Amino acid sequence: MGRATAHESSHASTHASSHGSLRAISPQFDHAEQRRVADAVLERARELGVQHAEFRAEHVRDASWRLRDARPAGASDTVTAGFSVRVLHEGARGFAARTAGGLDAAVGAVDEAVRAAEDAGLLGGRRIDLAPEPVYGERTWTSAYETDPFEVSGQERTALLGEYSARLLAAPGVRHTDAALQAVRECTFLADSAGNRILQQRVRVLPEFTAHTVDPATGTLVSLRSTAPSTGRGWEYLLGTGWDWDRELAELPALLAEKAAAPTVRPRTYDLVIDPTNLWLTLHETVGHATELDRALGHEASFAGTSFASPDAVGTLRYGSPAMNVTADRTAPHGLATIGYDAEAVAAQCWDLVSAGVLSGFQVDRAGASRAGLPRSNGCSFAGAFDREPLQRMPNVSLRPAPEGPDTAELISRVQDGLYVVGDGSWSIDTRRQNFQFTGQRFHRIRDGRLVGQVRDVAYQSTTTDFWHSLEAVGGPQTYLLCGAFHCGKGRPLQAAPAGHGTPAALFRQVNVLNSREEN
Amino acid sequence: MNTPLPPQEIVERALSLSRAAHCDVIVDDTDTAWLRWAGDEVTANGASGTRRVTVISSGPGGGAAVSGTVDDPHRLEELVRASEAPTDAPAAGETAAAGSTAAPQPMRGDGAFESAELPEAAPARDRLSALIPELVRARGRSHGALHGFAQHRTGTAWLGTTAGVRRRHRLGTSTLELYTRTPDGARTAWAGAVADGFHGMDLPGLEAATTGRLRQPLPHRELPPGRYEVLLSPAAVADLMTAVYRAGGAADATEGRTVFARPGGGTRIGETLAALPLNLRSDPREPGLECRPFVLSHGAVSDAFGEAVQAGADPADNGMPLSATYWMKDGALTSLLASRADAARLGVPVRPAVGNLVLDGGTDRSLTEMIRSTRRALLISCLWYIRPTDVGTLTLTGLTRDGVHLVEDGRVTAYVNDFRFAESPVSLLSRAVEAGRTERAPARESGMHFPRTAMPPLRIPDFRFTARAPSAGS
Repeated sequence: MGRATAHESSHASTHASSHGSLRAISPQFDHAEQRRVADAVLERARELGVQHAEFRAEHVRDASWRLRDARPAGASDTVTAGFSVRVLHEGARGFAARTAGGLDAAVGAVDEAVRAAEDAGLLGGRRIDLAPEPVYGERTWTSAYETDPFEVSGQERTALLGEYSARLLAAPGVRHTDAALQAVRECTFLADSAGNRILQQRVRVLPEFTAHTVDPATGTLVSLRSTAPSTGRGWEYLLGTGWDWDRELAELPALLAEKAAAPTVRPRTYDLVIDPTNLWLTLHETVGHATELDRALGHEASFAGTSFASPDAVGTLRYGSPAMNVTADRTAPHGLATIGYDAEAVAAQCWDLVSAGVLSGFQVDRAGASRAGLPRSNGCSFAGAFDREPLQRMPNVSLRPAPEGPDTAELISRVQDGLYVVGDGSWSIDTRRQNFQFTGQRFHRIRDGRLVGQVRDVAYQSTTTDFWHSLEAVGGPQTYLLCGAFHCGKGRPLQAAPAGHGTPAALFRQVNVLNSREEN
Repeated sequence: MNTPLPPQEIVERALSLSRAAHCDVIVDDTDTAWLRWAGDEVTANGASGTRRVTVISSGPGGGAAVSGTVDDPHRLEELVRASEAPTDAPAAGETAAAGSTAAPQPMRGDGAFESAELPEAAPARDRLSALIPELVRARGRSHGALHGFAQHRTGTAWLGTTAGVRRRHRLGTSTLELYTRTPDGARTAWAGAVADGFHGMDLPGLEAATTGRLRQPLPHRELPPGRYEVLLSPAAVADLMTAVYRAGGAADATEGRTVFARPGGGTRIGETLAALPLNLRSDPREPGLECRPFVLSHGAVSDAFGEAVQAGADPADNGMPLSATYWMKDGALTSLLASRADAARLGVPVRPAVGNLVLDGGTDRSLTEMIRSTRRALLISCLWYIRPTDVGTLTLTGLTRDGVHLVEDGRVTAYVNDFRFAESPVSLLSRAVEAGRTERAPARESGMHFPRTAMPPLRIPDFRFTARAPSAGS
């Protein structure tokens, strides 16, 4: 099994560097032409006297394929290519994006961005300052993957998805199957008035297989989805690199049959052992979003919300138990938010968000870092598309395992009366990132330290700090899994971004469990 | 430099390149400008002009929907060929169900775009800039407490198919949202409006509903979770009914996947859902909610956030005229979303998705009048972070936000903490005891994707709250 690693070179080529072999930048992305356009844009920005200018060109290929009952049920393949200009002018920002038009349109976009900045100036208010960042010059970075998913033929892709679906359909009791695969290849070229010229490419995939059976009591479908996480890998992931598909597909029908026959849960408090395939999403919502500085400052108050955590509580807020250590990073191999440089040409970094249960950091971009009095941004500026302004977005936010920690079986053995929660389901959290409710795919009853069958219709509900204070133990590195969100929404206009989340299995005491199907 | 081709020419050129049994070409030109601010900070401010070309090929051997932001006419052929790459995919309109019927024939047309001019569309940036002086004054009146989002988007779509369909449509959507909170953050208020242009928007009315509302001195009351009589605002109802609409696919119901499945097989069409004689309907010519009057499916598998696309949208139906459709009439379920292929396979009427939604059939009483006749209830301004917890019953969880008020003896008497709820909107329809006057109301959450909704306030005697949630700044 080949090991894919991220690569970077400090010169504008895709040839071998001292770091190893860079993956080739897709020939569909004409970055040489984009350099020419960038030079004209930045020259126009200089003429207009802006404080800072960024030119960002993107070529994103995003495709989805679906099969229903092992037969193709839809395919779409989208290339989104275009460029944007963002200026900082007299303390205000302006942005303009285009898909077409060549040099004239690009230069015109500078004028439009300046006009937008002037409009913002009419509104008055706080000036924007940017925290300093070293200039990196020419850089090329590619993520860690083996096979570009777009180099696989349609027949090969359909055949594999169909074969995996057929394995499920062949199992007794499975009435229907759904298979879905989304693949993204994202190429960006960033040039700014400070002298950076940064070319990057990364790949990610999201495969999902769902089996359905009929509930004999109600006649409605009962479903169970695979727990394989989305990942910053290529086609090799579908072939078994990074996930044991043979095992998961073999186990899924029996687990579905057990789920269909399972009793509904009795709502009350339970001890929970939560698998990484579920806990990643809880971490995303309760820590990832809650430690975004722009939320804490109220920038998202009108839409995505704010945060109960405030910057002045760093070092004092007891977020959770001492077993809770959460790290932010942009460097984890295969992390969905892993990248070499953010949209403001800030180099990838790692830092702590929660240390031994105490709030220890936030995510910031350059304006946020300046506002917070920090010496430097930690590289959290990202745009969901070429026609979206960069805003503060989440890096990989991960709960650290205990170095000599227990395995999942040992965590389960510590529970007299509880549930083992596997796979993510639905999610909902309030605007301050406190009251939340999560479901899952499977809920195994724990009695006297052992699994004794499944129950259904579980939703666990708590508040962020209560929940993390109820964390008794995290598993060891052998239980750790890097998962993540493929489509995290934020901002107006709304934009999506990927974020990775690694967690070990973890034990939580006395968490409130509801019945999600209880009669209204 | 490449001179961009006119959209009609892109359509015709791409169709002439097609080798597929059937091909659809869609050109989407979008002009957008936006401004967002939070108190004294501008947080987003820009404009974009984008063109996307989508080619959908179908026929023996497969085909797919392929789209790209094509600015080079020479790359058009790449797009067409990519759409023709064999994938073993079914023809557009064919479903994957075993034993499915043959795909319906593509819609036919005379091969000519209508000659009438499209409606004029001033640049989005100009429309937005014209609003700024008013926004500056509103911000001044709020003493920096106002947050907001203003956006104008003009979308023009051009459709051509190898079967001669030629359709085009231009739609302008202006969005204005205001939000404010008290200095301690404990109370918040939101109001939103959607129209074609900012000129018809009632900015003073939106201000009154936000900053004005928070100036009313009210005590704060902490109430426990449980069942309460509630008055749901039209915006809250819009979010709930949009969830009903999204779950209304005939194919999914037939397979037992949704709340509209009949136990033991079939669908619930014909069943009474609402105790009141309410109608849930769509009409592309609904005054004030006008939307595209023909089917335009890009063949997408999911949206930008990974969500399944709305049922009842099939590229094989592209160009088909849309008409007024009752999903629920006089309280009874009358239709589920079905493309022509779904209809042929399932034996149900053809009911494509339409881009607006109206719930009406209630009284002519305003929400204010309903408050006056209330002995004790909670007034719910907005719902948020709404997610399904059980698709079989369409049970949703979510939270109240931006104002829960206690109503006693016909008056608003206190500001109350927020709650988490667990309810099925289908169940709510059966339990609603009063519906007021229907008015245009964008949903707080789903309105950003589906903005054209008109809803009444609803009175529910026993709305279920499962937990207390902290208010915005508590």
